[in-house]
Amino acid sequence: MKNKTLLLNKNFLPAWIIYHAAVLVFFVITLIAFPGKVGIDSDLFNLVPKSISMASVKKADDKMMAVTSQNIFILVANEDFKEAKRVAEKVYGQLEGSKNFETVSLYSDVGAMSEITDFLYENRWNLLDEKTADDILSSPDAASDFAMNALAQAYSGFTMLPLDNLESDPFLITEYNLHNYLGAVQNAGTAMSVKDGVLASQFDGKWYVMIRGILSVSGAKLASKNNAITEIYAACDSVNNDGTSDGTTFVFSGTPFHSHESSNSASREISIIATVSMLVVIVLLIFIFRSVKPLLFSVGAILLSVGAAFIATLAVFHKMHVITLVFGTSLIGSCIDYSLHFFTHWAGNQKFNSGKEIKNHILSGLLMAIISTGICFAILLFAPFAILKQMSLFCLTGLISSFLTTVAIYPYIKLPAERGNVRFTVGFAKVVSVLEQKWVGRTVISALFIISVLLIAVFHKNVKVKNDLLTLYNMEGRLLEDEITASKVIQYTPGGWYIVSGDSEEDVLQNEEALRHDFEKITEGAVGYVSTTNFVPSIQMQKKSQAAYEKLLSMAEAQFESLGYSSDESAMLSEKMRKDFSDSKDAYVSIEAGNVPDFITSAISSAWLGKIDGKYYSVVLPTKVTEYTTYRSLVENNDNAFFISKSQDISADLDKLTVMVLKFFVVAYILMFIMLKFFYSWKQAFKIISVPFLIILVVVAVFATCKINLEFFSVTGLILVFGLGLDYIIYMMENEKKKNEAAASTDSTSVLEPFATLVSFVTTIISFGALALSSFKPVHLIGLSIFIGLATAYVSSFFYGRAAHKEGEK
Amino acid sequence: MKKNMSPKKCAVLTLCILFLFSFQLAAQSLTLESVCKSLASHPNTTGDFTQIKTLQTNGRKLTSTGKFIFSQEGILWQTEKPFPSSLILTKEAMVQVAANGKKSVMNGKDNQIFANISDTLSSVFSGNVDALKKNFECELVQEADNSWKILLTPKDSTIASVMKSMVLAGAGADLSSLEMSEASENTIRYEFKNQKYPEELSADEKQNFVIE
Repeated sequence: MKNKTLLLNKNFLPAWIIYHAAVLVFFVITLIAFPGKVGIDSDLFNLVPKSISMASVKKADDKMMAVTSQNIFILVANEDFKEAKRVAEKVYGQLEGSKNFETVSLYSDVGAMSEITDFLYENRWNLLDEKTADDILSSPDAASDFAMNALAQAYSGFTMLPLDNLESDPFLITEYNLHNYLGAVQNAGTAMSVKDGVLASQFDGKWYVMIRGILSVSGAKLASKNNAITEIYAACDSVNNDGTSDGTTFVFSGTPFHSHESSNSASREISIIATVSMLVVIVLLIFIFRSVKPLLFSVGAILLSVGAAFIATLAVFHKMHVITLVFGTSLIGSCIDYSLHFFTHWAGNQKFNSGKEIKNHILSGLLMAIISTGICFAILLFAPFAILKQMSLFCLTGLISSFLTTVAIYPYIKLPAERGNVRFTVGFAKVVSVLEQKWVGRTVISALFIISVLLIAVFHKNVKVKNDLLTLYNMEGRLLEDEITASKVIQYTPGGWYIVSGDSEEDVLQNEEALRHDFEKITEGAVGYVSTTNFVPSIQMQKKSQAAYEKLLSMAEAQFESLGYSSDESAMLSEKMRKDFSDSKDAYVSIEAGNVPDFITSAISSAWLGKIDGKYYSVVLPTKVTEYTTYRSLVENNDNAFFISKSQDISADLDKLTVMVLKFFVVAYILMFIMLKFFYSWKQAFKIISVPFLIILVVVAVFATCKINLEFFSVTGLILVFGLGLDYIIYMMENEKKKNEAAASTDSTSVLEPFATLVSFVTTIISFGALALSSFKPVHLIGLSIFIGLATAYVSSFFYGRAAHKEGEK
Repeated sequence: MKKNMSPKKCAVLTLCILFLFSFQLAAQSLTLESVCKSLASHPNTTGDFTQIKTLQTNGRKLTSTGKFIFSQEGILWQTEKPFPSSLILTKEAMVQVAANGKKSVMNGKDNQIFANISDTLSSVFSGNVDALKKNFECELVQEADNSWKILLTPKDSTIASVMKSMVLAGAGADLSSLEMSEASENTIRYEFKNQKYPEELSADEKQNFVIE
């Protein structure tokens, strides 16, 4: 290293104090400035990048997601409807009024029916559907048909409404609109319908009674103990355990249940990974150094670095995803590297008489290591994805803390009385002497290259950058069974939705009606959907309905006579109808006018987004997506409508991000080479920089052989390997350089540095190996690629280091 | 040697036995089960109906007539006068045929509303006592002339919000009338006439229950 003397005698203590104080102060300021906003995020949706391709409707989409992602359904199942309802009432009784829910509902208020019919009656001339209105207006016979059908209905055995309003509504338009309304409700939602005052459905010999809920902000904090999902499970358990429930089961459905499960799994995994990693470190340190001091200081350094990383991430992002923590536990492995390099010399190298000398000895290697790792982590800060930024900042802050502790605090630790007492070093030296043969190194590295290239050539068809969001989260066990049952019972599996925009309420409603028209055409009316205009038509549509109504009005007298009224009565009633219409014809149903009743507002709560940033938005939500391409093509040339399918969009975005990360990799590669050239000769720099290339070859070869796509998370792992893996070759090169510089190259202490590198490799590989065992596909993929990559990095560094040493000897 | 009974005495004795037997029969009280059993004894019932809708608000009556079929295949309610329309109810679907012949089909497989309506109506007309008791509070009133009335009050609050009660009236195995009181106080009365109980429906009649 050319300029290392600049830093050798520097006292890093002030830097250590300033760094940690700054992180702490920043965190405290954040806590004060953003009270209640700092915390852990465990929302499953936040694990994947937000759709970045549709910024114009992103806010509308976020609003939509905010509503739908907090919906939960509990289905209470029993062969006997009464029992299912009774248990549902008990569960509802426990959840009702809880602060964890915005709303919890069980009962479908039959009293609301009169509210619905009153509204449909008062606005009967405004609410005829488009097809009926068009038919009445366009065909001379259609109006007569409509009137005739109303008469047949009045005299038939079955009407949904009593004929109380026959004298003001002889065409039974209210009855007709009610049919349409109920059809829309049935179409829009689920297969559940009102039975004995609750929503129920019979499937496979069982009755399912539905409890619906929307989580409140506090209830959605799934990392907290008393969240909504925990409360639901507790309520259902208590009913199950009180001995009164006979054969009743529960089916849970909704994103929060999955987020809760993933949050719990993440917590469990954090505990397991952290415990295993810590145990391995503890055992290694005590066993190797025969002293608790290295252990205590190393653990202290790790705790400090994880703590600094934790509060720094919270201070910057306010919300830290629980997965960042899972990934962040791997810091233990990285941070311990620095400690190990110090304590190996501290315990075993008798050439040094003080901690300061040890620091000076290892500083150049550590500095190169942290710069290379830092560059890789820092590059991820530019990724347009919060979780990656969080992981990057977390690791970066932790590494700096650990580095500073090693160079600022450790030199003050008193050297042990008995030194040169490091376990395994003798054995390690023997292994090294065997492997020092040049041909061994060349054979191993050549074999790695050749086998990798061959495997890639054979399995080249499996080498692809492809993400599939649906494979990232594996539903399993009870939750999977519940979702399958729920989708069969509720028959509501929306996989995408249209966001419709407009400059005004009227504009967006008209755009939505046009979209609905096209949608019904392509799906031939076979797919139901939720939309605002099913319940609140545009004013343009209401005017058309009024025109159709006026045409019917001209037939009112004949209609009354057919219903048994005298000519005089018919004339009088017809006149009154005309007057009623004339008095109210300028009154339209409109959301902004505020005359939409509560039951409709509730029915369209997930469809009407309203005004966002000066534009108006609504959602058309099909109950299922049969063909993504067809659905998407419907709005391809429509500037006012966008089809959003989270799984498809996010998978596509992940593909883009993967390519972006690969570009970052190239940038990091170039930056690293520039840095290396600054400190090393051309030959050495090329040697070092060839290691990442080998890493990529091996990882790609293994993934291709195992038919694993190069997904976003595994490619991200490669970047981290790049930073961490380079450390090994840098340590090795630094050590070999020092050995070459020193006269006594056969000195037994020369093995200490490679030994420290080996121990640090073992600790790191254990940390990341644990990540590869994670049930979370993203964490698993990152862990796997880092595991393979680091192993390659260490093996190639080991032999490169040996080769360099041998060359140096010559 | 015993003297042979005279034909007159023989006739009187026979009449006495018959009288005693019939008296015993009349004294037997009817039960919901026995009435339902006799109603269900006919696999098919066809006949004419008169429907009178009475509107409480203005006292007007809307009277219509038509034909009906109750069978294993389903129920047909065919209004003929003054305006034609039909309602066909099978286990799978409910079909309404409007005056202009336009059919609207409600498929029962994925429609719980239909399933509820079908279940309730079928329990009334099939004479299935268990199904009837599941859907209604049932009260049987026995009249002196061997006729009976069954008062049905829906248990389901959703149905009760529309229909307050239903009274079935008949004699023996014949259902003669059905009166429905709506929650709005309006009533619909059906009177059944010319009932026939064919063992099998004709091909034309069966065709009504083929849902395309």
